[in-house]
Amino acid sequence: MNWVDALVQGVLVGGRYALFAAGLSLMFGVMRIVNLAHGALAVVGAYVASELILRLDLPLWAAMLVALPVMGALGYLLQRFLLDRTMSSGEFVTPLVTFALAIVLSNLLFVLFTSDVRSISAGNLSTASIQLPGGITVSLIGLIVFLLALLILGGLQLFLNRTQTGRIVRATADSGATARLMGINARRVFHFVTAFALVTATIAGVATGIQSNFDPNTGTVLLLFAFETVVIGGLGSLWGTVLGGTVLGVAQTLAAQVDVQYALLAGHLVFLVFLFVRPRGLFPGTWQG
Amino acid sequence: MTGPAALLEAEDLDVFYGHAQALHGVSFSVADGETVSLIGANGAGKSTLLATLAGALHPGSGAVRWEGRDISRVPDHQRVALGISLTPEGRRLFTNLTVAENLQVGGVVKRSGDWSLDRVYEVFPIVAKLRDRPTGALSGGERQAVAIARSLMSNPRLLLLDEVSLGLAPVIVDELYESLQTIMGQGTSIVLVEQDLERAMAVCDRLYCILEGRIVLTGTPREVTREQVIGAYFGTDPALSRTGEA
Repeated sequence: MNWVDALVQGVLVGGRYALFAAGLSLMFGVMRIVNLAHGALAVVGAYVASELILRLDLPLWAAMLVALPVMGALGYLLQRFLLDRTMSSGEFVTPLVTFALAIVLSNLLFVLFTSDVRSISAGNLSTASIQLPGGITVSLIGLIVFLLALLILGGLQLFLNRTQTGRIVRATADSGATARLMGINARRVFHFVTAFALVTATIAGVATGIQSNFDPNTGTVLLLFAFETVVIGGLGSLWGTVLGGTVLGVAQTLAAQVDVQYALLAGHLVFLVFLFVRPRGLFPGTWQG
Repeated sequence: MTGPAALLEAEDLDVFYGHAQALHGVSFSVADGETVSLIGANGAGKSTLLATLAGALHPGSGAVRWEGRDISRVPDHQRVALGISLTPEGRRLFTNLTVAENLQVGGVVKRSGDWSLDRVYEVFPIVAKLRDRPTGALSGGERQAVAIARSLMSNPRLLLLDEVSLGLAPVIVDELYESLQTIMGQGTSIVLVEQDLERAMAVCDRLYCILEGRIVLTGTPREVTREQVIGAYFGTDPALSRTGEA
């Protein structure tokens, strides 16, 4: 593996980080919710898909077809029956509740599935690779996940900017109280935003399961990566999120070139540098594009 | 006073912010096509009353009725579909959206009627010129025009306008009132909160004076004198305060 190779791999990993971060960033942008359970929920999504594959012998695509609506519904219910209530109980309640939720979820996963490390099989896709010019080899699944991330984030940006529903989401993010005066049921917008956040988190969680592995505690690390991505990229800008994920991914893979042990540390250091030098991130946006 | 033709009617409203009572037994009505001015000092309860009529606040006791039907418990976002639209104090535009997008969001609930983007641009030429601009950089007058235009997009039967001219240059206010004349002309009912007494009395069919959360004077501009209104505004006429509580 040479440096250019490491750079390309880092960019690809960055797509997955961006996908993780998008839901976190969207929920904060629209509802001012800091969802500390975002990583744990992504891992729950990965377990749901994994169980469907193992127990029902479903192919990956069929497992996703079931897991995504299930996790979307879970997000809807989570917002409707839990977060809606915590939001109106003061600004410190929601982070506390989502923190507690993260702990409960990871312990629940531990009880149900033990602490065994799992990965998700994608059949031939798991091992297939593509030869790029310059002697660089990328895994096909890595490339697919990266392109999927661009597609989802680009689609989300277009949706927010160009459709009436997207405008409703942005108006609600701006002021829920004023949006209600326009006849918008702000809480319903919140329900669907959280549902969407969990769907994207699940895609990213399953991608993690295919490309590497996960256990009940993986959510903590995933949450950390998502936070770092958001801070580096800038809150509220989707392309900033992609760039933030890329910066983080590249920092990790380049450091791994020196010594694999430095990978995570390098990512955290880059994050710290941004926090000091450019705390609002590369593209401090407001969901406007 | 209220008559059977009341479009919106509030009866004996008590409204609280926590333990602080902001409105005391307020009764209020607007008839179809009527323009009503709500006059009072800062903190008298004007915005509270409008917010309660729009459903953003709910009364501790008393009732709000729409065409005779009790809507006290109907939440704000559902009252837009009934035909009630509040243009809030401070205009509260969506600053992440352009002027045109603000108007489009205002039209999320689209009742049948004349108002459309084109019609709004026609009545508010100032808004038409700004359509692609972000709202963050607009002047106060421009923002007020956009806020009123945004309210109209749902084709309301009743427009609640809070602090129409507060902080605006007189020449802009003239322009806004010209546009308001068009709105009144097509039969939309209006409740107007206006600090400028002359203007408030000139444009309305009927007026209410509110003092410390109580209605202390009501009548047509012909029935009440300017002195009475000023007395009610400042609370300098003790006789008026008593009639409100009666």
